[in-house]
This record gives sequence, structure tokens and C-alpha cells, in this order.
Amino acid sequence: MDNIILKVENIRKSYGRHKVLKGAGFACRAGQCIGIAGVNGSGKSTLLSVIAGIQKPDEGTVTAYGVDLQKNKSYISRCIGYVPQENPLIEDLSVMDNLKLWYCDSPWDLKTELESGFLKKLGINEYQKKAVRKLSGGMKKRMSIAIAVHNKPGILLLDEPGASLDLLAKKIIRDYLKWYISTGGTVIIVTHDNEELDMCDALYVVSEGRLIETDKSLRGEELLKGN
Amino acid sequence: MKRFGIYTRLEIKKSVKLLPKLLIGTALLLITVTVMAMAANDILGDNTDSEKGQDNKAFIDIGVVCKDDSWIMELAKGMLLGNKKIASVVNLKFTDYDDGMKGLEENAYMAVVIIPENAVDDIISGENTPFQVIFPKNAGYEAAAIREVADSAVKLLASAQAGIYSAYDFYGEYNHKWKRAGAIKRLNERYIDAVLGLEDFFKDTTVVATGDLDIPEYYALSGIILFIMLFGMNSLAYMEDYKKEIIAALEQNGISVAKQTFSKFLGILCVYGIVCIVTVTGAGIAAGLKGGMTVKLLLGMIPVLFTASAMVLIVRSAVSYKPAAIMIMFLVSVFQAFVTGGFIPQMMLPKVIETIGKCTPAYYMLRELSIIYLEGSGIIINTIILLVITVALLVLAAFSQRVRRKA
Repeated sequence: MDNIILKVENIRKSYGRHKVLKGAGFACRAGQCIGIAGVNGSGKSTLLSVIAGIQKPDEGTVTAYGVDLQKNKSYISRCIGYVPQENPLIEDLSVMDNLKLWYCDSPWDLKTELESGFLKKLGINEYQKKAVRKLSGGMKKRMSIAIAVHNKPGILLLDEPGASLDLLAKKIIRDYLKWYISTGGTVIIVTHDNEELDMCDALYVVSEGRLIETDKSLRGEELLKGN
Repeated sequence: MKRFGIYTRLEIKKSVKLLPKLLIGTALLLITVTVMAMAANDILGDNTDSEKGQDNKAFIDIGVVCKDDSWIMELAKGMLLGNKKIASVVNLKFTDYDDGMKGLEENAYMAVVIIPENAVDDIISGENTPFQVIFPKNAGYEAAAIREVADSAVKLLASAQAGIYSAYDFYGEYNHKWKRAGAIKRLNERYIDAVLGLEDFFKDTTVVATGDLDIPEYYALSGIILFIMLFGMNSLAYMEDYKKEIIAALEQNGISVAKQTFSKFLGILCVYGIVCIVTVTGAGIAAGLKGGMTVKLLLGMIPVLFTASAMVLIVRSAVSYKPAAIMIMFLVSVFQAFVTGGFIPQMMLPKVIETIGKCTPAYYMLRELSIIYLEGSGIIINTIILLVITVALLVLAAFSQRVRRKA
């Protein structure tokens, strides 16, 4: 494959005796959207957190733009943005304070993006002074995305971004992701949402600790069976 | 560095924003600790108010078995029994050995002092056969009072001996050795008579279990330390525990776990500082302290607050379940307060508890304030000890955070 920017190879991860990932791996190019599905507890979130450097795998490598991320942890934040299921926000602070923390040395200009850029597209400009604790679930997810992209990463990992969100919130996020992909960004999304799956160029299912590429037109039960 | 500065500023802001939520808890805590301190002061303060001319009776009975029947010892006995100051601390009951031991077993006596035969002659000759002090198995605070009385008696006799030895050497130096024996004998009698007759010792020395501090002062300072430790519970109730994704993201962006720990420490320290300024100033005004002493106490609080903030942080870092963290903070605070004499003065506690107390941060926190209040020495060393404890706790907190992040 040409132009591979992310290569995940032979990832193994156990929690005690429970082996979650048993040699998962895939590769993707710039501007691609990769979907990952699987039953609950199959290891999807674990895989994303390993790629994002939150957890260390027992075995395996993650290489982004030719750099081994496990040996160069400081490079992770420059090339990967991670939106976990639990929003990584400091709840006792305001939206603006959370943004200032991450955008202080960002290539983006915070003020400009809030006024007319992608942060406005995400709807964050309306809630600048509000405490994060008081935001709705949808707003918190958009904040999480805003924080994940503060370093203009080329790869964006999202773990079920649309879970528990209303249709409008989901649409806003989808529209943002489409824009992100159109600018050359790569998205790796764990999802079961049909509309999010429709965005994907390739689809994988986590089955028995491994990633199996599957027909991207499959949905529902058929998808989860890995057929 | 820029992000670290912003992160630190935000941690401080986050902590200070908690202050209104902490107000009610702080007020309740203040009232509780003040009531406890006042109650302890009332209990311990009873029977030590002899300066006001009240007829206080001592409540510690000590049996004395005196095997020396010399006239000097009779003189000493008379002096001891007639001394009001001694009588306000202990009741001396002269008895024989068998009755003394029986009294100990039946808890009629808190201790029995055995004065050996020829005790006075031995002191004069330099033999110095020791007096024996026998305690019952579970000697507690009474041991402190008896220790003070015994020390006083030893000092009394030591000063008499010093005079006699001087005279002995003097006669030798001026070649009047043939006159020495008789002169020394007469000098012994007159010197001891004069020393024992003075009764000055207990006029200047107050036997108080709280050391150099008055009882109200002791409990005021102990109360401040207890309040500071228990305030940690209040802070813990509102402290946010960061998800490992945030911790990892901060790490990946140049703010290591150690830096994160330090920033949180500064946040807690700011809250403590604000609360402390208000409470210590208020307490100082209520107690009628001079402005200078209040300022000194506030400055002395700085290393104390460093240690207290670090204690809160280690508990929060090590314990993920918030209610458990609050309970642990409570237990740690009460335990430290007990073993360092916050409820019962340390001098009255068994030795093993005293020793345990000296291994706790609260011991040095209380000591810091006591030294400042009494304008004593040793403040620099005590401050260094507190700073070392603070650093050790912060390192442990960072380590705990790291372990939890990897879990």
C-alpha cells in the first residue's frame, strides 16, 4: 500500500489473565476513514488507547509517519488526536479555560477558530464561559474533539463519538469529520452507528482479539459476525 | 513550559473556586475543633490553678518508703510534706515496704519511691545510691508528674552536693586536710539544712504536662493543627480525580506526572493559605494576641501548610474511591492528633505512643507553631524537616498517580 501513514502491527494486550488483543493490526493512508466494530468487550477501546499511547501493549508496534510511537512518546500528540469514550475534560473549569490549556502553543489561533473557524463549526464559541460540568453530552463530545485536534494531528481516533448523543449532535460531529477527512486527515472510528459507518472507506471487526477486514456494506448482526 | 504555567494557574484557579463550597464545612469544622480544645482545656486545666489561691488538692498518691532515719532526712520529710506546691501535684504518703507494694497492686498509689538506708550519708560521701521508683503496670499520665517531682528532688540534692565537694577540695588545696573531716560534717549539716529550708524550687517551676506552654495555649496550637489536618477531608470531598486520558494527554504534551502533582499541590496550598489566613488571624484577635505574634504564626504556618497540602495530595493520589479517601484522611488526622498529644499531652502518654508520635508529620507541625509561639530555638531544623516530609509525600503522590495511570 502506498502512502501508509499509520501501521499497527501484532498488538497484544492482556488484563491479568484475560487476553483482549491477540495480534491485532492494520494500516491506513492519509485521508482515509477506517471503521472498527465489534461486540462489547472485544477490545476496540483498548486498541485505540494503545494506538493513542494511553496504554502500553504487551507486544506489537505502532508506527506513524515512519516513527515508532512507543519509543517516541512525545511524537504521539503531534500526529494523533484521541477522543475517548470518557470525555477528557477538566470539569471544574470553563470551556475557555480547557481550550486555553491545550491551544496555548497550538498551530491554530484559538480566537480566530472560535470566531470563524472549525471551533465555530463545532458550536463551541457559544459556550466559552460555561463550566464544562454544565455542558450537555453532545457539547462535551464536541469539546473533546476540539481538544483532540489542538495540535493539528494528521490522525484522529474516535471511540464511539456518537454514543448517547441526539441526532443533531451526531450530525455536527459527522460534518466535522467529513471536513477533517477532506483536508487530508485520517479518521479511525470505533462505531456501530450506521451513518458513521457509511463514511468509512474500510471496515474492520474485532473478533477474538484480532482485526478482520470486512465488507464495508455490512451492518448490524452481519457486521458483528465478521462475515 | 508555557503549557505547564497555564496548567498550574488553572489548577490554582480550580482549587480557589472551591472555596465557597468549602465554607460551611470549614465553619462546622472550626466550631467542632474549638469545642474539643476548650473541653480538653477544662479537663486538664482543673487542679493546676494554685496561683489564684484556690485550695486545690492533688489527685496523685505516691507511697514513700524511707529507710533512712537520719535527722537530715526527717528535716527533708517535713519540708516536703509542708510544701503547698508539692501538695498540689502529689500526695506523699510515708509508709513501709509491704504496705507500699500492696498499695501499688490495689492502685492506691500511682508509684512508690524507695529511699535507701543511709541515703543522705551516701549523697554526702558521693556514693549516690539511687532512689528506686516503682510504677504499677499501666502507668500513664501520672508518671509525668512523678518524673517532675523526682527530677526536682535530684536537682535539689545535687546542688547541696556541689557545695560540699567544693569545700572538700578547698580544704585540700589550702593544706588543712586534718581539719577537713570535721568541717565537712558540720558543713553538710548546715548546707543541707539551708538548701532544704529554702523551699524556693517550686516557686519558680510549674509542673505542667504541656511543657513550656500553658494549657489553653497548648490546646489552641493543637487545635489549629487538628483543624488543618481535618480540613483535608473537606478539600478531598470536592477534588476532581482526573481520568487517565487527561493525565496521559498532559504527559504527552510536556506536563509530566511529577509536574502535574506539583501543580495540584500548589492549588491545594492556595486554598489552605486563604483559609489559614482567615482562621489564624481570627483566632489571634479572639485570643488577644499582639499583631506581631499573629504575623509570626502565619509565617510559621507556611511550612506547616506545605506538609498538610502534601498529605491531602498523597491520600487523593493513592486512593481512587473518594469516600474512602475522605475516611482515610479522617483516620490519619485523628491518629496523628492522638499520638502527638492533641487530645492528651504527649508527656502523659505511654512512651511507645510518644515515640510513634515523633515519627508523624503532625509532631513537627505542632512543634513549628510551639517554637514560634514560645520564641524558642530549633525553628530552622524543624522547618527543614517539614520541607523534607513535604517533598517525600509529593514524590509518593506522583508515584501513586503514575501507578494508577498505568493500571
